[in-house]
Amino acid sequence: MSIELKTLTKSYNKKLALDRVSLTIEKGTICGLLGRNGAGKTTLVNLVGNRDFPTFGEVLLDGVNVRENDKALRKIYCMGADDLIPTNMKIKEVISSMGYFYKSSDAKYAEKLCGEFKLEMGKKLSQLSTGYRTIAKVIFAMSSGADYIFLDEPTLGLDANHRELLYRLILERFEETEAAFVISTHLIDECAGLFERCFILREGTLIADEDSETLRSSAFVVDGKTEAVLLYTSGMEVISRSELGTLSSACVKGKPGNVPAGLEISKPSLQQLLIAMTADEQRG
Amino acid sequence: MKDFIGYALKNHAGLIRFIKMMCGVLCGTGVFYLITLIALKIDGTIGWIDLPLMELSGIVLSGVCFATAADSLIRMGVSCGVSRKTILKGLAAAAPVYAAVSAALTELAEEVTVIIFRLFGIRLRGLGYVTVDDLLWNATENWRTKVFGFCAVLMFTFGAFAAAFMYIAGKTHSRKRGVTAAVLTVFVYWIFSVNIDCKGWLYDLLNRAAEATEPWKYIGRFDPPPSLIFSQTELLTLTLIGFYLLYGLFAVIMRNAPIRGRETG
Repeated sequence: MSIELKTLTKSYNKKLALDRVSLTIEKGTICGLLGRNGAGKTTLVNLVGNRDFPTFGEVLLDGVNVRENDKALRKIYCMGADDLIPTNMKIKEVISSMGYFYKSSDAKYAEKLCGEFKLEMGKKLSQLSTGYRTIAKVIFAMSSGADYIFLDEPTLGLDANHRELLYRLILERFEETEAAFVISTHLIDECAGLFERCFILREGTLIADEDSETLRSSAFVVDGKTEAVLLYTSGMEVISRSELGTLSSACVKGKPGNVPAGLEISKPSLQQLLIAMTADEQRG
Repeated sequence: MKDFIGYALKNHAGLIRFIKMMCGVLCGTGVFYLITLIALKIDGTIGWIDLPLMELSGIVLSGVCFATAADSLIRMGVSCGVSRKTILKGLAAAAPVYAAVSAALTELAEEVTVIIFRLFGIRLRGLGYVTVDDLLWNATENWRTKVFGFCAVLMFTFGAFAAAFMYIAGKTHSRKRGVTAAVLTVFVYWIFSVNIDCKGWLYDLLNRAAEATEPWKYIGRFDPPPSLIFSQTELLTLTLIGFYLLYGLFAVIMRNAPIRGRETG
């Protein structure tokens, strides 16, 4: 079972928000959808969830186009960063409403999550703070029982404790249901441990679609004195470079060869790699 | 589609919320009319009012309530994986139920208002009396007048609902509520010209259609009068057709419209 995006393209007037994005999301995986602001992450989620329609290309669920397909769409839940669910609805009303559409939705589990996050079910969405509104939306998504759950900015406004709780609950739910989770976030290092696979978007184009480990192993960071770093990296594909006084750091694609003394080699974090891959300048 | 209709008619967030909203606004209007009543009593010279107070406000407010309810239904549907096709079919099926409930509540509120005013010695005359031509139907205070009044309210409620749909369509595309509301006002005036004379483009069209069919009813009985005034049920049927024509336009606009919600954070 999988969702396949085929040459998905979306343009607004003449601006390309997504440019021929093709990727596959297997059921039973947690994927990271990463990229800078305006990279096209939310557009992608909106297209998958039938909230918007592609200019070109299609989204297939087990080979069937999801566009205007109720049966296929009920297997997908997209939690958007925006407020699509009417904010004048109470949390318990939304949970009961979901039962009409998602036959596997679990109201008891939703209640349990509300308890864990100390969220009052009798409150309206409009009465909640940004953080609690995000929590409510995440609860709706996780209790939907959908096979593919897209979480767009699930950590928006959440404090550190709630974020930790959220990551733990996502992992628990993933183990219970084996649903696919696609998480779009800017807190990459915090979520890095969750991601099995990463999709990186840059200005609407998919620039990476790899296992997290493979992606991290595809580059290395070299630190040391600027002259030594420059000398070592000459002829190599430098993704990004930064300088601080006489010290320099470079993120280089490939495997490190013989490393001269005085230079330090390390594996880049996912966040470092993303910054390097999506930076506007400092390209080597 | 069953799921969506079930949600629209049975769930708390659907019809029940709409009924609560309608009751709320009608009660609010009732308070306003009580103030009017006190003012009239203080004046002491007016014994009757030839104006369907609660009915007219009920119709306008039902449009506002329905716009809110329908917008919620659409957004909830989209966020729960319901296709536009299903949402549009479901709304088309649910709207007449909402309209009937709304008209019934409005009529009930009107009756209560009439009773309260009568207790204070002031007679209110509702749409059922105002629109009846005494030559065709010698209106008396009987059950037929009530049915007639209900039909009249229902007819205008459909007009208000059609306007609500147009508002949602405009808001979805422009995301500028003020501009949409302004354009809609002009549109409603042009299409409906909502008043009891039934002028306006749509009602003129309906009147012409009714005029064309009217003689068939009177074959062998008597010649139709030169200036025709039609029964409210006929106009109601034709309004329903007009409503669905406008709903078709709404469906075309909404078919591929992006529905994304408001940005937060």
